[in-house]
Amino acid sequence: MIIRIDLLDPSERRYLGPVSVRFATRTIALTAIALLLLGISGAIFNGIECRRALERGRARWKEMEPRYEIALRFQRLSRDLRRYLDEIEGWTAVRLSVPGMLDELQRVVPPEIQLTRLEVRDEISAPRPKSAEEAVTPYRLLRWRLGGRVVGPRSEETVGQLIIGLREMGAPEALFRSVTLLTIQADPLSSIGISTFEIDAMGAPRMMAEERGKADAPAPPPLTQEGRRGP
Amino acid sequence: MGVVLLYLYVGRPLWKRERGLRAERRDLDARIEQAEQLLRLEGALRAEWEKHRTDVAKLIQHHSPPAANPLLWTSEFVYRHARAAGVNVDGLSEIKAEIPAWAKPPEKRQGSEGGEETAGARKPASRPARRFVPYAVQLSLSCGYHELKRFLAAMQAENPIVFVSQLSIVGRDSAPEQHLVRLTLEWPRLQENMRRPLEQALTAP
Repeated sequence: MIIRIDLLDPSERRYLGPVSVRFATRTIALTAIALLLLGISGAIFNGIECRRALERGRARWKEMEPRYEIALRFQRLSRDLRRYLDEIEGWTAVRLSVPGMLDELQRVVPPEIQLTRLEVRDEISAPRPKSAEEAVTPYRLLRWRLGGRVVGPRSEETVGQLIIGLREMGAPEALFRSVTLLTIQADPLSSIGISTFEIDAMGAPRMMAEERGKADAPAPPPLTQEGRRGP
Repeated sequence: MGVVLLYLYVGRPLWKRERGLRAERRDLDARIEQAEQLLRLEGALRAEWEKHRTDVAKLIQHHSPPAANPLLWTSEFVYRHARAAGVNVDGLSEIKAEIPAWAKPPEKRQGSEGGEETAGARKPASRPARRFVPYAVQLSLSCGYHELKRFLAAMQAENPIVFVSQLSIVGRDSAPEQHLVRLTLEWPRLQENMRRPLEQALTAP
């Protein structure tokens, strides 16, 4: 066992560690200064570099800006025009081929029936907006009213055939959502069993949606095609 | 003390300035990148605009009734097809109608007539303005069923935006082959307040 006796006053004692406090303090201070100077010089260097890159970039931007503005304007104008086309496509998408419907009607009318009146309405309507800001999509609604005469003893069956035919019109997508017989009555003056009838047929609303999603599409579909054709 | 002063008065402002320059450079680079991307499509954008311009001009100038004297334009269209199909036109008249509610521009809120909105007030999402409204004419015809089909088919084939919004066919006992037909034709027509924006969009930059 080694016994160490230190007779010096604590204030006079020497530091016995590997590095003196003074040395450590100086080293830390010098390191901090060195780091600070390094940081400052780095910032100056980077700043100069950034400034040069900015000058190059500004020159490039100045050169390309007029062309960019024109291209941007073409893009905006093209988008504006696309909206006009989209709105018209909203109209044409719900157009029905009326001669096609008339053809189909001829096909479904049984020979015992003679139509005396046909009224077709395919008008634009729109729900009432809840507020001034609410977007409203108008729609077209097809409605037919048919009146005619049917000859023969089983007139109700013949009219039934016509109703079935009307329900199947436009297949596979039915043209009418509902086909209703409004009246059927025998003509008391007729000696050969003629009845008169009236039918109401109503289609589903066809939304005239403006396809805004296409506004950015590069290649729009051909405009003149009919989105939905009649039968 | 010197280190602190060096940091406070030299180091910190320098770093702050460097950060600012970096941010400015990033923004500029991003702008240039965006511009380069768009400029790569310059030809396609020009071609797309040309195509849209041709389509819109064709539709509005050739297929939609003009702003001035639309009934004359309509009657020329109708009579030409009627003659070709063997349909007698007994009458043709314009249906005067107000602009439908769904096509009207959104109403301005009270207090916003001046155009300027108060600071901080959020602009309400307004209803997109409709560019087209229906223009309709009513026709009285006398013709056979087949002639009527031919007449309608010819009109719909030539004009992609003509609509039959009403049709009434009534048989005549005196002449079973000649029906009384009432027909309403409809076209989308550009709203007056949309003419100027369209002209601007049709003009090359």
